[in-house]
Amino acid sequence: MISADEYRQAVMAQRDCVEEAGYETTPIVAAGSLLTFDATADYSDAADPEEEDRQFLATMQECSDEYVKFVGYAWSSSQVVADGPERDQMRREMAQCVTDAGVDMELDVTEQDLLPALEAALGGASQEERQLIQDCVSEFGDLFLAEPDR
Amino acid sequence: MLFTGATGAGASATGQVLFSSASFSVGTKSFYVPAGTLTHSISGSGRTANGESAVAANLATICYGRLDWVTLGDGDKFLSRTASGSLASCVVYLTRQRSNYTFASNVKKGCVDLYINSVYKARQCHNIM
Repeated sequence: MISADEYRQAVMAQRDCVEEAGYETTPIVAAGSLLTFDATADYSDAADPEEEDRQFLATMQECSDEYVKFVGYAWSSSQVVADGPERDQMRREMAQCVTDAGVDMELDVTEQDLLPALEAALGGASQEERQLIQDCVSEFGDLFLAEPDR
Repeated sequence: MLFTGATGAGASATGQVLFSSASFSVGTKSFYVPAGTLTHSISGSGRTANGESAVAANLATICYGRLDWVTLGDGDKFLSRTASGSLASCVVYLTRQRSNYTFASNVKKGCVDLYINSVYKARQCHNIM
C-alpha cells in the first residue's frame, strides 16, 4: 500500500529529475487525489528541434519510469471510489458543480449516464463555462479513476 | 479572430481526431486501452487563448495517458512542447486545460498530442493567425 506521502515524494522526485535534465517545470498541483506538474521544452532557437523533442520525450519517459510508473499506479488504484453512497454523493456534487458553472446537469445522474451527460454539458457550453466544467472535472477527478479492466 | 479549425475561422474552434488502441505491460500487469477520440478546443482573441482544453476518451479506460501542448511555426517547425507529468493512472476521462495563454508571434499552430504509455497516439491542431 502506497501512502499519500510516498506518492507525493515520488512525484517530486519525478519533477526534480526533469528539472535536473534542464527543463522548466511548474509547481506540483492536485487533480483529485492525483498530483501533476507541467514541464516545458522550448525549441525556438534549436538547430534540430525534432531531435531536441526526442530528447525531451525520452527524459519525460525516463523520469516517469524511474519514479512514478509503479508508485503512481498503485496510489491511483487505491483512490478509486467504489460504487456506493460516497460515490453517489460525489457524483451529485460534481453535477451541482457543473450546474453552478452555468450548464444544467441532472443532479441524480447515474453512473452510466455520467460521461454522456458531461459530454453534453461540454458540448453546449461557452468557452468560459467549459473552463469551469473542466475545473469540476479536476476537483472531482477521483470519480474518473478506474481499474484498467473497467 | 484568430483561431481556425477544419470548419473555418471563428472565435472558437473545436477539432476531433481518432486514436488507435494500445496494449502494453507495466511490470507483470497487462493493459489494454481501446481506441477513442481526442478533442481539442480553443478560443480567444488576438494571440491570446482565453481557454484551451483537450479531452481524450473512449468507451472504457485510458491508462498511462498524457496530453501535451505543442506549438508549431512556419512549415510546421517545432517550437515548443509542454508536457504534463505522467499521471501513471487509469481514468475514464483524460482531460487537460489552460486559460489566458498567449501564443508567441512565431506560432502558427496550437496543438495537443496524446501519448499512452509514452507512445505517441494522436495530434490535433488549430491554426493561429
